[in-house]
This record gives sequence, C-alpha cells and structure tokens, in this order.
Amino acid sequence: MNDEINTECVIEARGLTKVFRDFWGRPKVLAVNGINLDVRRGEIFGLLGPNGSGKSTTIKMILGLLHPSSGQLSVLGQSPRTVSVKSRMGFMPEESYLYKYLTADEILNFYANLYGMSGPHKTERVNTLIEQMGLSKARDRRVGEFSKGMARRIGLAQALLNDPDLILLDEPTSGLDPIGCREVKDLLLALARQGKTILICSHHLSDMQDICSRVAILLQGEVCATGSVQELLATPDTLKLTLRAPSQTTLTAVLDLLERETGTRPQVDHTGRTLESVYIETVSQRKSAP
Amino acid sequence: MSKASARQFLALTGLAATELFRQPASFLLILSSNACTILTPLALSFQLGQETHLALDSSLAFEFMFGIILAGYAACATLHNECQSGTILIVFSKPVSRLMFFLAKYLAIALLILFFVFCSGAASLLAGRLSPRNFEFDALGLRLLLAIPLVAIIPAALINYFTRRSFIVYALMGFTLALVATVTALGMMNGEGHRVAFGSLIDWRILPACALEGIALLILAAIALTLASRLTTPTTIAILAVVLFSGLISDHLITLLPSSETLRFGVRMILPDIQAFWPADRLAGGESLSVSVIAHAAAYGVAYACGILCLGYAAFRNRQF
Amino acid sequence: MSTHPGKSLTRISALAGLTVRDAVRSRLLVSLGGILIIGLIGLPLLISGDNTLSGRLQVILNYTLNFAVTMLSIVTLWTACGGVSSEIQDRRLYLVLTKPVHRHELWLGKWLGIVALNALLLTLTGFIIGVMTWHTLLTSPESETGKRQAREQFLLARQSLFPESPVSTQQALSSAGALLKSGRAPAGMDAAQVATELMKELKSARFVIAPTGTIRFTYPLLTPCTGVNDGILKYRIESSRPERNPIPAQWEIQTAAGIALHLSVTNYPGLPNRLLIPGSVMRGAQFLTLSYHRLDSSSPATLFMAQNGQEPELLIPSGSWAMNLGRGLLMILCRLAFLSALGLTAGCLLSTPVAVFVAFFMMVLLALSGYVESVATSGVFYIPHEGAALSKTWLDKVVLGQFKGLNRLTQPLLHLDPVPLLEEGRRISWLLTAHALAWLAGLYTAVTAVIGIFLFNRREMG
Repeated sequence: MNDEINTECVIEARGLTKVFRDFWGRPKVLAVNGINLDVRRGEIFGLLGPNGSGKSTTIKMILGLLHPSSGQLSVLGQSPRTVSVKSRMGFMPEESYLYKYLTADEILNFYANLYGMSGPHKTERVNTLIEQMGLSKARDRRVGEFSKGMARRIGLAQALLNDPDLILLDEPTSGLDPIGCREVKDLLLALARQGKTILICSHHLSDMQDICSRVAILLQGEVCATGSVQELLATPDTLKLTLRAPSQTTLTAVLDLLERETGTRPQVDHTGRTLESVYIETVSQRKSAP
Repeated sequence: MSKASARQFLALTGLAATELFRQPASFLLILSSNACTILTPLALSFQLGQETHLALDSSLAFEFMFGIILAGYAACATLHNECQSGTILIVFSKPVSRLMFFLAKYLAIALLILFFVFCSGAASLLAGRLSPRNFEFDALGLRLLLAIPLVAIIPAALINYFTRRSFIVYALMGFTLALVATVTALGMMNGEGHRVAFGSLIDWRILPACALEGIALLILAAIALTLASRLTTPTTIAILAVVLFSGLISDHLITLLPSSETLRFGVRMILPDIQAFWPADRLAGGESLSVSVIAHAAAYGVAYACGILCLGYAAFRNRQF
Repeated sequence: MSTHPGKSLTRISALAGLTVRDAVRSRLLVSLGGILIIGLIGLPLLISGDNTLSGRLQVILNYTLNFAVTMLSIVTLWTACGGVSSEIQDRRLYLVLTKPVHRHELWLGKWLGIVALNALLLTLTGFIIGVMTWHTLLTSPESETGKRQAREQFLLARQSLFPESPVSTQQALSSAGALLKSGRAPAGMDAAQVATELMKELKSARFVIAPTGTIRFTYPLLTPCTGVNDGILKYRIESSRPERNPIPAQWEIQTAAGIALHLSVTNYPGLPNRLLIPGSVMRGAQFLTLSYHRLDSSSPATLFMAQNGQEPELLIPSGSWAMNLGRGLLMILCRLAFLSALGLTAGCLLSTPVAVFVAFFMMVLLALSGYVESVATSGVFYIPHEGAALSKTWLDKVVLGQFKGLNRLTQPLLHLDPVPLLEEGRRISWLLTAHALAWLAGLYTAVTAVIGIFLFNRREMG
C-alpha cells in the first residue's frame, strides 16, 4: 500500500444527497443521503456496501452523469460537471458498454481521439495498453466477439488511456480469472505508487482488503463506517504472533503463562498459504513446464 | 397439454402480452392510427357524395399501415430484444420448450393486434358516422371527439399520480372505453343532437371489413415474428411493408413472371394473397362482406399463418445464443 | 482538456466516424443500399405506365424519387432517434460522456455522421436513377423523333417563364387608391385588397379571345438560348359553354428579328396542350412574342386561355438534367439533415420508440404544411353547409390559433420540395437550392440543434 498519501483532497463531498423523482416531481427514491467523503491524492479508496446502498449513484455523481439534489461535490478542485475535469479522470464501468462492431484497436483509438490525443503519442499509448492488457493477439477482433474477461480488460485499458490523475473503477476484477485479478491489483498498486488516486467499488472484499488504503461502507445511502483498512480491521484487545514452531514443552509453558496473564487459553494454528497463491503458483508452473 | 405446460404457456403469454401493452410505442401507434382515421372526415368536403366511402377507405388504409408497424415493432420488442439482452437465456434455463416459447410470443402479439383491430373498428365506425353528408359537417360530433384523448389521459394520469400504477395501461383502457362510449352516443343522435334509431346513421359494414384486415395483420404478425429472431425492428418493418405491397399486387406480379405453371404456383403459395383481405373495392360497390367470405379468408389466414410459424420455429429451434 | 477548436473538430470527426463505421459494420448501410437498389430498379419494372417511352421515363422520375425520399426520410428519423437514446439505454454513452467531450460535440458528431450516410445513399440514388433513365432511353424501341421528344420533355432542366403583365402591381395599387378616393371601391376593402381584385379582373379580361380574335403574350428571355433544344409552351383553353368542339387556331412566334414561325393547331377545350418552339427560333433572342389567332368564327363567344388559373407557361431549356438532378438531391440532403437534427433532438429527451413517434409526427406536420396554410388563411378547418352561420366557439379559436402558429413555422419550408420539379423537368435554380440550404440545413437545423443540445445537457444518465 502507498504510505506516502497526500492530504490533498481529490474528491470532496459534503452533505451529498441524491433523490430520484417520479414524473410528477415527487421524491421516489432517496439513493444518497447527506454523505461526507474525502478521497486523498495517491490513495486507493474503496466504496463498499450492499446492493442498493448508493455506491453507483455516488460514482455517477462524481462522474457528472447525475446531478446532486443537494450538497457539495468537488472533483480535482472543480465541479464534476465541468468537461475539462474529465481529461484527468478515467472510468471503468461495471459492465463493458463498448461498441461491439469496433475492434479493440479501433475502440482505444476512438477514445484516444476523444481525449485529444494524436499522432505517435496516441499510437504508442494504444499499443502499450494493448500489450499491458494481454490483448495483442486479439487487437483486430471485434469487441462483440470478446469473452467477458477480455471485454473487462479493454474497459480498463480505455480508463487508463490518458494517464489520468483520478481513476474510478466499478467492480474492476469482475469476470477476471485469479491471475487476471492479481495482475489488475498489482497494476492498481503500481498506479497508486505513482501518485494516482483510485476509487473502487467492489463486492470482492478480499480484493479490497488487499489493496485499499481507506474504505467507506455505505448503507441505505449513508456512510456508516469509514477509515483506513487497518483501523477498521484491527481488534485492539487481541494480538497475533507469528513464530517458528518451538518444542512442545516450551509451547505448553508459554501457553500456560499467557493463560495465567489473560485468563483465556490462546488458540494455536499452523499458518498456511491462501487458495489464490496456490492457484497462481500451480498455473504458472504448468505454463512454464516444457 | 398437461396442466403444468398450460400454466407455463399462460405465464409466458401473459408476461409477453403485459410487456407489449405497457410499451409507450404500442399506445402511441394505436392512438395515432385511430386519430388519423377519426380526423380524416375533416379533410373530406365536396366529394360528390363519396365522403363516407372515402372515410371508410382511408380507415382501412390506416389500419393496414399502422398495423404492420405495430406487428413489426411488437415482434421485435418481444423476441429480438429478448435475444439481444440475454433474458432469453434465463427462460431457456428453465424446463420450457422452444416451441411453447415461440407460440406464446405469437399469441401475445396476436392479442395486441386483435385489440388494435377492435379499436380501429370503433374508430372506423366513428369516421363513417362523422363524414360530411349533403355538405354538412357534424360539428357536435367533432367536439365530442376532441374529448376522447382527454377522457383517456386525465384519469390515467390521476391513477398514476395517486397509485403509481402504469399510465400506459390505464390510458389504453380509458381510450378504448371513450371510443366505445362515443360510438354509442353518436349512434343515437344526428348532427343536430336529435335522437335517432341507434345505428341508423352508421355504416356497420366496416366492422367485418376491419376484421378481415385483422386476419391479414395476424398473417403479417407471424411473418414479423419469424423475422424478429434475427432482424432488427426497422428491417423487419421494411420487409413487412414489401410483403404487404407485393401481396396487394400479387396478381400483377405473377403476370410478369415467365409462363411456367410451376413457378407461378410456387410464387402464389409463397406470397400472401393480401388482396383477399382488402375489402375496400367490395364496400365501394355497395356490397357487404358475407360470413362465407370472411370464413374463407380466415381459413386461408390460419393456414398461411401456421405455415409461416412452422418456418419461423424451424429457424428458431436451432438458434444458438 | 484543450478547448482548442482543432481538438474539438477531432472529437467531432471521431464521433462522426464512429456513427458511419457503426452503420457500415452493423450492415445497416448495406441493407439500406440493397433496399434502395431493389426499389429503384424494381418499381419501374413493376409499373410500366402507358408503356410509351415518355410514360416509362415519368415512372422512373416520379416513383423512384418519391420512394427514395420516403424511405430515406423514415430511416434517417429512426437512426437519428436511436443515435442518442439507444446508446443511453445501452449505457454505451456513459463511456463517452466520461471523456472530456462536450455534449454539443457529441450531438454534432452524431448529426454529421448521419448526414454523411445520407449523402452516400443519395449519391447512390442519383447514380441509379441516371443509369436507369439513360438505359431506358437508349434501349427503347421508339423512333429517334420519339426519343428526342421524350428527352426534350423529361431530360432537360427547363426554366419557367410567364408573360409580362400588362398592368404592374404598382399601377394596380395606384388605380386602387384612385378608386377608393372617388368612393367607387366596394366598402370595407383596403387598397391592397382592391388592387388584388383589380389585377384578377384585368387578368381575366386579358385572357378572353373572341371568335377570330387574337391574344398576345410576350416572354422576356433573361438568359439567352443556345438554340440546341426546343422550348415548350404549356397552355389550356376553356370554353364559356360546356362544349368540346375542336378550335382551329394559328400560333405566330415573333422575336426582335421579326416573325419567325407560324404553326397551325387544333385544340380541345379543357385539355392541356403543349406547343414546341424550335430552339433555332429562340437562339439569341431577348424576348419572344407568341400570338394566338383563332381561325373560327362560329364557336362560343369567349374562350379563356389559362393553365391552372395562371398565364400560359413557357419552359425554356436552362441547364443540364444531371446538374438539375444534383441540385435536387442536394435539396433532399438538406431536408434529411433537418430530419436528422429532429430525430437526435427527440432522442435526447425520450426513449427510442417514443422519440421515433414524436419525430414522425413532426415530419407529418411538415408534410401537411400546404393543408395547414389553407386552414390558416381560410380561417376554417371544416366547410359548413352553405348559408349556415360559421359559429366559432372558443375551441375553434384555439384550434385555428394553433394552425396559424404552425403555419408561421412551416411557411418557409413550403415550395422546398424538389421532387415535383424534377418530375416535370423544371429547373431547380441555385437560388432555390441556396434557400433550402439556408432554411432547412441552416436555420431550422440550427434551432433544432440548440434545443436538442440544451435538452441533452440537462439530461441525467441514471
């Protein structure tokens, strides 16, 4: 995780509220209710919450696709509805809403044109991203023929085209295999180290735990918990020791001592690897085998 | 068909029909068709006694024109869009046969078409009743007509406001009720508002004519459903228009072919004989449509629609998603 | 983001290119092209008219152009409505709107893409019509004279001329003023109305031809004729009695150089007639005087000579048919550009099917602009029984008010339909084309664009 987090706020929301109204102008759904949010430069911020908690609505307001009913919202120091602020943002939606008749190459070139990129810089950037996303062999295939995972990679590539300062990702690892997930997570961590600010919405809590520096948990349109991952996960009155296994006598003596001190006998478990690391190791070994 | 299958079939039909009746486009098409039909008499004056005939002819033409758009749109809205969006996968992950699914869609479209024909019939009766006679225009009737959209829309708007129920469904119901009420009211009085024997000023021959055209629309709906599994809405409607037009001039087209009996027979089998469902010429001659004419046409329509649906199912059966 | 105009143009052209590419790859363009080809070639094969060369050429120009215009109008509206609304529905637009693109750039890019597609299809239409016309002409079994006549009639751009009026509007106005001053004008009429009635009476008097009488028309030829092609005078004779006896007469054609030609004719009352004026007679002439001399003495006392209530019309060759067709297609493109704007604007606010419906409704209203004008000017939208009081309730006034308002909107668009002109072989002037460009593709499109972009800016993508 990036320890050198700036205190400068990239996204600042105060009392942000969004009410969806019906045809008659009456309130129908209170999607976001007075949330306060600060996302600082260089951090990876996670937005968690059950379905219908207001995460997508918040993201859309940050992107300027929805207008807040009340409250203040500032993105990179400007109103999110300003077009110029979008040249410093990248967005990867939950579903890959792409033009299915275009090839991967054409899609990236199209979006690059929208960013105002041109010439060798544009070509180089498109080529770099296609390589990085592992889509070199499929660059001339139509996106409509892509698998979900490949479409997600293109979705991520177009979000990174303009080397944005702020990246918003909605379920970035959805549809990706474990190796793909690991690669995306590593990429996001690398981007954060470069000083990029990343805002992620995801239901994959383990992924969020791995990479996020701070998270906010939304429920029914309100922030019910926010803080760094370490703070939120810590249970202050318990400790975890990791050590090389001693002899049985020593271990028993230590456990007796701790039981006398604390009043409860500590639990002893052998540490193991995660399923993810086993998977990655197995697949990598098989791939590199002759 | 077992009880469980029947329940499945009704569920599929009910869902598809509900979806179609809730579409704003369905409401707008039905409303427009009837508005064009009812307002045509306004443009008819000094037609040397042919006003009623022209009004009825126009109503039949509007029924065909809007009917094919409605059939094409409905077929694509139910089938094509479901294939595109992927919701069809969820249906086929259940124990539902493709044949049942296909037929349920057709039945839903047929229900919409029948409803459209009913409304068109009522509107045609009004158009015939309101066409100028002896150069006199029924101003009272016109004022009554202008109230129809208000009667349809205002209650539906109030229901939507207070209960949040679908505006479209209630507007459709309101519109239909208002049409029927207006036909009843105008059937009982003349242009000056005096009471007359019910229906004495209405040309009732238009009703079987509308029904006859309705059978043709059901044939075209079958063609639309066959096409909708692969083609988009504009293409489907364009092809339906070509089929309609070709069917209307099928006799002339066949004379252009080389004189091979087999070829001519084949083309006659493939092209729907829409001429048999175009009753305007018979009505112009003062004839009415007998039960045997309609029965004959209905038998042809059923046979042709079944044939087309078989072809459509054959194309749909092995379609991969 | 750079607000540099160059970057803006890059974005707009990228969006336009995307629209075109989408249409090509989704096979929309191919399907439309196929339907156009089948329709343009198939219709003349199905409808042979009177089986003469002229009849077949008329079918080609009449049915195919109308088919192409109708089809392209419908498809343009549909595509334009779906251009924004379907992308909002699919959420493909989200990825575009989260880029530094102004919504007006997006709207303009889509509009340009649709106009480019229409330009392609209209070019194809023009090419097919041209090929079919010349093929019909070349392969026709008609004699060379018949082919020449057909070519003269349909495959030339002809400028329409009307004879000089013996009384100018100014003179009529001053006469009207004099009548009003002297108290001899009907009560309740102003000078303009009196002048109009005076002009009508004078015109009627001018067109009366007594037995063995002569009537003369002078046509100024503003652009000199090359003399290669013939001129056509369209006229019609009406009798004061319901008779259909043929009327023998002689036409005398005179230029500044003197009497050039005498032509004997026999015309039937009530039927349209055409007089061919040889090109050699008109060559270099600055004016043409045509005198019609009745030879009979026993037929009805009076005859009126008018074509559809107007003076006889002289059609002189003025430009090539190909250029005329090109100008006509350009006018059609202007109309399609306006329809694209209309569809995109509707799509910015409504879902695809509702937007299509609303846009079609607007298109039908525009097509009925002639009926709207007649209602607005006459003040009635139904004809009451003769002698009955024309009662106007508040409802009638409301409806008539709407017609008048609509008439003001649609007035500039009247007479901007090139198809009737092309069917009759009339010249579509550059002025008329510029008129279409300015009003349809210019002002009306711009106003629609402003409304559309305003609605689009306010629309939320939830």
